[in-house]
Amino acid sequence: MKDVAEESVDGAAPETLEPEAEAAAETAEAEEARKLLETVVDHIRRESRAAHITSPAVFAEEPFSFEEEQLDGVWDAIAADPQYADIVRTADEKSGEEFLHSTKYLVVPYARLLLRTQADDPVFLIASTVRDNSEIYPRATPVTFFELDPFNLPLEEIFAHITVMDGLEEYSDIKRVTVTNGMVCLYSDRYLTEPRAMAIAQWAEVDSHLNSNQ
Amino acid sequence: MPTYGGWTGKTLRVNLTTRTSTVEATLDKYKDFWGGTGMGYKVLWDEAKGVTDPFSPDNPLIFGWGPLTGTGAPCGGRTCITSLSPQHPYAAVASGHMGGHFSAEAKYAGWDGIIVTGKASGPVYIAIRDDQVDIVDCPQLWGSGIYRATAEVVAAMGGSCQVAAIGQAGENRVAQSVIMTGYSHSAGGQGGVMGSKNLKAIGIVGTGSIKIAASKKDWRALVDNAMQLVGSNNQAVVPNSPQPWAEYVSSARWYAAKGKYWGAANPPVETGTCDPHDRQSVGYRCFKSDPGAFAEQFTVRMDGCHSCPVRCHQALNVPTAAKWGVDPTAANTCTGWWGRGLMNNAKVIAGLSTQDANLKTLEAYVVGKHMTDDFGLHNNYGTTDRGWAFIYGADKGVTWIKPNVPAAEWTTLNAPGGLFDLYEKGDLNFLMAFGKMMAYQVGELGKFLAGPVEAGLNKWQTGVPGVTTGSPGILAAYHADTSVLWWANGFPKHHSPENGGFVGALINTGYNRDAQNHCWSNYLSNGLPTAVQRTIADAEFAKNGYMAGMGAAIDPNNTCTQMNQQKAVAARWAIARKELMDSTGLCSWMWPWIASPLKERGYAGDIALESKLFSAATGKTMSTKAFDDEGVKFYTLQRALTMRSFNSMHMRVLHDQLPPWAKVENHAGAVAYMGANYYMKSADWETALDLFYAELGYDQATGAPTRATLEAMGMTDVADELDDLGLLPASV
Repeated sequence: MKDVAEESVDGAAPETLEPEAEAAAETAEAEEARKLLETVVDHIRRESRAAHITSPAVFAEEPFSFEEEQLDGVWDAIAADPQYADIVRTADEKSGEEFLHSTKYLVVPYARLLLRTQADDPVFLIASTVRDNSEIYPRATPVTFFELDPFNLPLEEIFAHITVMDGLEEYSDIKRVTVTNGMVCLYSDRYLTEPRAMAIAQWAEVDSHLNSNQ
Repeated sequence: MPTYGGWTGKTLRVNLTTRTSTVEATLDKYKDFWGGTGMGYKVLWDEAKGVTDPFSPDNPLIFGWGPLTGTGAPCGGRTCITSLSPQHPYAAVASGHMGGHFSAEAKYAGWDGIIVTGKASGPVYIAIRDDQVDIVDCPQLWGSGIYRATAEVVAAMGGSCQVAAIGQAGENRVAQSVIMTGYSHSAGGQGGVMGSKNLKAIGIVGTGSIKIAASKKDWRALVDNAMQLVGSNNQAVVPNSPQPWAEYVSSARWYAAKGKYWGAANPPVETGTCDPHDRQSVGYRCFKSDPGAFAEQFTVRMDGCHSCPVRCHQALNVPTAAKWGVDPTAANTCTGWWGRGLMNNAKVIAGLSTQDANLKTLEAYVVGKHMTDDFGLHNNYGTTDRGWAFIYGADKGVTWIKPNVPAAEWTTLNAPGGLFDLYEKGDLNFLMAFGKMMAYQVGELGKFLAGPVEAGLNKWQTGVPGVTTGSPGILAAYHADTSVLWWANGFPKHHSPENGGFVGALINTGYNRDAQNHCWSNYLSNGLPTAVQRTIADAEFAKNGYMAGMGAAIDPNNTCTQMNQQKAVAARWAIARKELMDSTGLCSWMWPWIASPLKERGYAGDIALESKLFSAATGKTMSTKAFDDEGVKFYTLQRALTMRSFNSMHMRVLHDQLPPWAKVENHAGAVAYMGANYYMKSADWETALDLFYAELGYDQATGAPTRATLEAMGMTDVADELDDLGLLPASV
């Protein structure tokens, strides 16, 4: 499509379109923007549904190859329209890089876990997650928690990372208790005292099973 | 008399002594007590005056359900069986509860309850085909297990028949025995009562339907709403592994996950990440896989009860279990997998590879389930496992004082092929031999295991004059061990102060067995952060007419903070709801739903759901508060029955006392209310009772309901009788 604002080569006044043509052009432009928006949103939602977060950078690459200006318009449209309220950005805690996801399928806390998992810093992953659990619920985190998806860490690796963590000042708040079945549970002493962590962990890992809810 | 929906209008009474059956008009006689335990308490109050022997023909046995049974109300498969209890040292009233499909079939046959009285001259079963009731002689079934009895009754009555039966344990009046339906759903404690009546089974075929007062559209909307709020087992609302849709993750009983399969299904079924908005995946959520991930490959599916979308029974197929002479397929849940407590110990699996140890554990699950469910034994939340540990430990000098029983019994246990020998070898034939010892009450040790526990210990403590000398200290030794914690009347610790501190303890004061009350413990264990639980409780209770700030009643599991008014209100609410679930036919293991899995609701459930279902089904409209008041009424009649059995009004002293293990004074170095334990100060327990009694309208000094309270509940007759018996507190 010809750029209507482009000057003519001979310096004459720019061409102007008839009102009908101008309207048609605007409609086509809006349609193109709408398709672009839908493409982006659909991709983010589809990926979220598959438990993946999306880097905004993928839309500048094949197969999308969208221009930066086009994408700026998409982000503005997403922010302005309530029907896209599920599309959010969650930042990587270490790099600050933002990723997109649909909270309809993939909520912020899970996105945060995925980002920690892909950060290639298992010590940070373990410590951050332990801190979250100690603060939010509050509870101590059994080491086997990190065997689960999306972490998928082998138990021996988990213990190796904890050993590394022990030597790092920045993680000095991460402590451990061992409950009566031998399970090691981690907690942050910013949020839990040792006796409280022990009481809660003992219930979750041992006593609740002995108590047999049924 | 207005016509209501929900009820069939007819209650069946069977007198086994006269071999007659009669029909009673439910709403003439029991309209104020609805059904289930409420009806059971009323029958006992009216008809069990002066009965002290639970095995007397005069002890009525009431099979009860309620107006929501068979209506399609979610999680509505409960049957409550009420009688004076052989498990209680004073034979005080208690109920056993079973799921399955028995109660719904009974409703479809046209019955709101079955009251069994008297004693047959020989073994019989009751055959109910809609209105037709027959008492059928069955000497050929006496001495057989539940499996054969059930199969024979089904063979006689047809494939759609639902059966409740007892095994040899019930026949032999074992206190720790069950009545069972569907091969795995058991009501604990009442098997011996059924056996004492020479009643082997009840078979029911129902072809009718239930009238619902509300329009189909309104009823459907209500059920749909409930289905949106349902969680997983025990109303867990947070999955126990990270999932993309889930804001929270917990150790609650929502087990479905990506990569977690019913591995023995053909083809295997992935439970997956069950979005809470997807009703079609509710049945996958509760994949308990009790022995751990190893059991997944042996799981065929999850099973459950009538009208319940949450499947909490795990169906296993463990082919190698067949070598122990049992069917390798089995279904059960939690302590129903009895082998896990008895044989899953380090001694037995020592020296085995992890793989072999896991497999053997699973085989023990299957063998133990078949043992207990065929003999009809009651695990009673590990009481019998602890009894075994007691006997074994006593002989081996591990911890216990050895009871004074004939030396030959110890010799037999230690002989090659004896129980101790089998146990130490990890031979799973131990489980069947153990079950036989209990079911047939073999020797003094068998009698002890058969229960009631407290009676057995008391007998050993003092000895039998002229027969055996006592074993002083044996009772204290049993009490002192942390693995055998029990409540004040000889029942096991189960959702007491460890689940909610004062609230859990108060809930447990009222009953004559473990309270079977999950209303509060479910909420504490639902997986939500404590702060969210408190916010929801604040809003949900206030919305339904309760005091503000009910979140202050919440203590996380294994912790306890100081008593307050909200905790007394919460305890009252929980006992009311337990009785209401048991008297309407809903499952107290699932209901009520204070919380839901829905983020958009702030995870709030709706504590008015049950009263809405009740109102819609029956046409008897009730507010939530009025509904709860009815539950307190049922509970209060249970209290009056207990006073009558104790022949005392002094419940505060004789019945409601906190066990020693729950008192902080008995734990050197422990500090109460700091979030590190669930212990409480003795003086504060007295404050808790004061507040609780005040909420119930009971006399502070005795813990007994006052005349004014009884009359306000419409139970003037109960007040009069208590007064006549000298059991009514003086009016203030």
